[in-house]
Amino acid sequence: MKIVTDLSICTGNALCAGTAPTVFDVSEDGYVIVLNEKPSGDAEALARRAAFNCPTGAITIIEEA
Amino acid sequence: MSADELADLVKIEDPSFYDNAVPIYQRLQNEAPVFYYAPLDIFVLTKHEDMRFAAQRKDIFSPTGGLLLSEIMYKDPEEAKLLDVFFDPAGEMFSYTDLPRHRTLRRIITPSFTPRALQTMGSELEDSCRGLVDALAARQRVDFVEAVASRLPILFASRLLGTTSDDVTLIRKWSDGLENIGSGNLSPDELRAAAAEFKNMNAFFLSEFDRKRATPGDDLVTTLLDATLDGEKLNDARLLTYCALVLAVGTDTTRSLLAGMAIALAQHPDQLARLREDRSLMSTAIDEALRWTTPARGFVRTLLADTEIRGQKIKKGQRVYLLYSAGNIDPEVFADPLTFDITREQDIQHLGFGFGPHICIAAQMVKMETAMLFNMLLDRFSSWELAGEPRPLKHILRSGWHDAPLVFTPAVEAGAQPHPDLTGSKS
Repeated sequence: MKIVTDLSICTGNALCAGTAPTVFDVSEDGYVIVLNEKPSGDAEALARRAAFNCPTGAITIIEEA
Repeated sequence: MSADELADLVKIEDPSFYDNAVPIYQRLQNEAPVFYYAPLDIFVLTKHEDMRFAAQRKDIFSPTGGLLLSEIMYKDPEEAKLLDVFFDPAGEMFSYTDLPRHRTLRRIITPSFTPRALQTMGSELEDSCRGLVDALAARQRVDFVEAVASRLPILFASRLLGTTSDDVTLIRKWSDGLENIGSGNLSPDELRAAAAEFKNMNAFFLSEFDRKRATPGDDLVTTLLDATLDGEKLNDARLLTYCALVLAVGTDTTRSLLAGMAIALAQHPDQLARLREDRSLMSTAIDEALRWTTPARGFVRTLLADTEIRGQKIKKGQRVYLLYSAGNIDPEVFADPLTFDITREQDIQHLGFGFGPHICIAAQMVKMETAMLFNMLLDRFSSWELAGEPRPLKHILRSGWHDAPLVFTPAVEAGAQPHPDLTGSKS
């Protein structure tokens, strides 16, 4: 899997960073930062949860073959 | 036939309806998840999935036709105009705007709510919080709403804004005035009184703007004074709208959450003890308290285009009501939804902060504030219990309590650190 973000719709409310702090952060001006584009194990599970719960759908998980 | 019965039972604009709404929410979810409520010409959504969809798709579901049930209830133009006293239309409150304007207006204050910005305020906020916890008397009845839950959010909001007034009582009065206009049970006279109180708040903010222009700080008012929109500095109407939003709208919701979490833990002493032993559960406990309390019961949207939800056709211009308090007990999302469980892993997040572009801008701040408070309470006290029945608000929007009588038991067992004040607190 690989994480892709869309900053044009990110609201910067940082729920993702709260859910998966090793994968997501939020910049000073309020945009999501991906700390680890290809997390594995527990971090992957939390990243998927954060993506599903992103309020604006700004986080997409791309499955790779 | 059962649909007819539901039509008799559902009364979303009646504050008393919410005294015992859970069985009706469950029936709506089972029998009519997209329920047409004729008295207000609105479709009531009760399924979590449908509300996520409606909240996220702002291209279809717009806030411009009103957000609160109370707004669509005041059909008399004179009453509707009174609401303008609270929010000058020239202030263009971002909650009521469509994309892309919504994003532009909200972005002005977003940086002030980032985890980084909140960290810089951390130590001051800890002092405020500790002050309230230290002042709590042990082994006697205290009203947790009055002593803590109503005060802490105002102290946080004041620090965020950078305002000087530490007169919590005064600011609470303004906050309560705003909450009352959404309650759905104010007479025109009461509305006017609330409006008059709100003018005092605006006067306070205007003097604060002058002070901050002379002496800028690392706060939201300074950020707003520096900001530009459409190539211009923000005018007073815009500045006041942002400040009112933060102070008044943000404080009563948090009060509900803090009271709701304290009450729920008092009602579940095993879980209180478990949280005290294992603070790594704090995050899931707070999310559970948000789900359990759902401080904002629901919000209105107006359709910008014809659409269909679960086969129900809804036309452009019609309204839907996102009843978050029902979505938060949707059994398809939350197993045993009527059970309070601080260990609940929410793979699908509750709707306590809403969802979509309108999600609570202060969600992280609220979580930080709640964790700070409950960590301090659990440090100082081994437990607390109800000393009476909390009185729920009669309010169509806000789920909360007038009071929460609690008795705190100080931590005395080995290893715990009794607070120095405790030694002289009881004669």
